Amino acid sequence: MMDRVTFMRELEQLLSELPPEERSEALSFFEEYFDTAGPEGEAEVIERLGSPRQAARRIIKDLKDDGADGEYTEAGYTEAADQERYQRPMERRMPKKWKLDRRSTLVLVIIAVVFCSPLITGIGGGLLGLGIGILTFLCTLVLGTSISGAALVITGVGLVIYGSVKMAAYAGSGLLIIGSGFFCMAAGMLLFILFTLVAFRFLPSLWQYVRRFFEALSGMWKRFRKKGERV
Amino acid sequence: MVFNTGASLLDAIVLAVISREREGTYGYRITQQVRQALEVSESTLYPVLRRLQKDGCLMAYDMEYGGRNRRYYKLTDRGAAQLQMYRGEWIGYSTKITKLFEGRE
Repeated sequence: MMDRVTFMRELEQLLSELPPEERSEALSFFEEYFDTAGPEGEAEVIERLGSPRQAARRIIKDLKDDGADGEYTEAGYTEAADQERYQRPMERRMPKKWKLDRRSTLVLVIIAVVFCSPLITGIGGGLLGLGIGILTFLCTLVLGTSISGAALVITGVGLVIYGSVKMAAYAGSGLLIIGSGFFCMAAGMLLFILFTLVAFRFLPSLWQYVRRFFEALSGMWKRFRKKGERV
Repeated sequence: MVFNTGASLLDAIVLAVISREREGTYGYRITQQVRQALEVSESTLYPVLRRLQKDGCLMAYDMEYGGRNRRYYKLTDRGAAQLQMYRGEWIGYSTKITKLFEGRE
């Protein structure tokens, strides 16, 4: 169980939203109470007080509302607030919410954009550049590889021809060259087929994604502008 | 026990307890005496005392006791009048209910 010092410290924090005079008056009341009860009475008092949160809530509520809508039973004071043990006190103590209408939202956004524009252009430009770079890299990779594949095939054919010619004079090397020639053709064809497939299957859909992304952006912008004007 | 005590009744009880001492009494004693009738905690009573003070029914003054500061609460004229009103109300209210419980007219 809590001790007096911890209790009072927590209570002090929880009462921080009160004007300083009210807060110190409340705290002195409890300090005085603990003093009078003495160390023997301390445990009993703490038990009766409940948690610092409960105590703070009652104090603040009563001071604010000026008249409780709770009920005092012989089992102690109960409020709706006490029933929900885990409810965060902050929610109860600040019922007012800021209402931002469309116009002020728009203004705030514009101000934010203006102030952050160097940051936005810097980071945004960087990101855009990066995106373009990656895209270009991919395209080049795919295209380049399929082209290399084709080139490899051609080389292979050439080697076969050369090897066949060589066969006449030097059978061993001729065979070797023909062999490598076929190997190149095979590898080249593989590369070419693979990457061309990739190119034709994925590049279009990639393009779709890019297009959709930009469409979404302009859609959002249009909607936002419409909202702002409706005020 | 079973019955709920509304805010006004608690005010009345606190005023009654304090009225017993002509020179007023302090928080600890007030709580002890109220607790003879009701199971209340200090965190319930403190707001009541504060409110009664703000409404002008109580006045508070500090006096030193045992090297420490002790706050005493005393009834004002307005507090005394308020208490009288509560007493009257209570007699009327409790009599009617008693009659109902006893099955009389």
